[in-house]
Amino acid sequence: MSGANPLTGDRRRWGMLLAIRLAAAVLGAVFLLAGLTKAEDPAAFFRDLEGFRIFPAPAAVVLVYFVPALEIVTGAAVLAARWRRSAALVLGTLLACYLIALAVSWARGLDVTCGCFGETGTANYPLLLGQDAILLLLAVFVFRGSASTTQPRISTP
Amino acid sequence: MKLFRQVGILILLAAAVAAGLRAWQPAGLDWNGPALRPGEVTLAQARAFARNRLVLWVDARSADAFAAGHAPGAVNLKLAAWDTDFPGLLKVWQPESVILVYCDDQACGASTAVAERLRAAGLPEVYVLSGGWAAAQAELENGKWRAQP
Repeated sequence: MSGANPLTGDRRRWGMLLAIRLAAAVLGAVFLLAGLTKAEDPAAFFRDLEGFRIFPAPAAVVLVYFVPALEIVTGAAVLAARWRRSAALVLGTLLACYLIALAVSWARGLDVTCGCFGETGTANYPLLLGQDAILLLLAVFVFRGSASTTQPRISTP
Repeated sequence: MKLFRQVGILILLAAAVAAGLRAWQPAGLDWNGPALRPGEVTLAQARAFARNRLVLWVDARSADAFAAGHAPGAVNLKLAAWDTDFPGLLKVWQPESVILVYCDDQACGASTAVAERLRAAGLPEVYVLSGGWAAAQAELENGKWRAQP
């Protein structure tokens, strides 16, 4: 008996590729949808941001346009497998920021609305933190997996 | 380095899309937030009122919506039942009160109509809460706002 079965190795590699593609599809679709929903009603997203009481109005207005745009661009990049690793890194950073903002708001006892998909209603903190944590794990998985199993399809300009 | 260059390009692309979104939406947000109509206040301004003044909430929604939840100490004042509801408001109104009127959300017009009628009735400080109950529900229902005694 010498070495591993090459067929088993191939199967594992294909399984990993499939898992990364599935994770990327979920991650990309969630952020693309979230970004489009927020972009549709900037005033509602502004009110959601205001509820976190972190940003002064001018900064919140910048974020009202920039955050959905970043979610749309990176969500589309992850979905389309263009610069997937870089986009997953951005999404992971965004999710880490969301987790911190939610945790701080929970600790401060604020009743915020999530603003995640433009819906209104009191935030269920454990649920939101759980959702964001799962998405963060997906982003990390896509980021790490894309480094070893995929090649970029376009070169940087 | 390639990774960070791509991240930088994605961020620049997002900034361009953000600028496009702002330009594309004719009712783009002012730097101080959504444009307010005359006599409207934001939730942040309402918060400031509650810290320094006596706030009297007026709920311009239906009786059912009012029964399901309302601001602390709010008076239900419907345009359609003005004659029966308005005396109830006068019982709790005090000359130093700031009246904040709300209806369901930004799209409803009942709060503006009720506020106009209250001003016409001679009440001096009447404002409409921008975004209405939808914007303020989470905050108003948790009991942190002081109700007018």
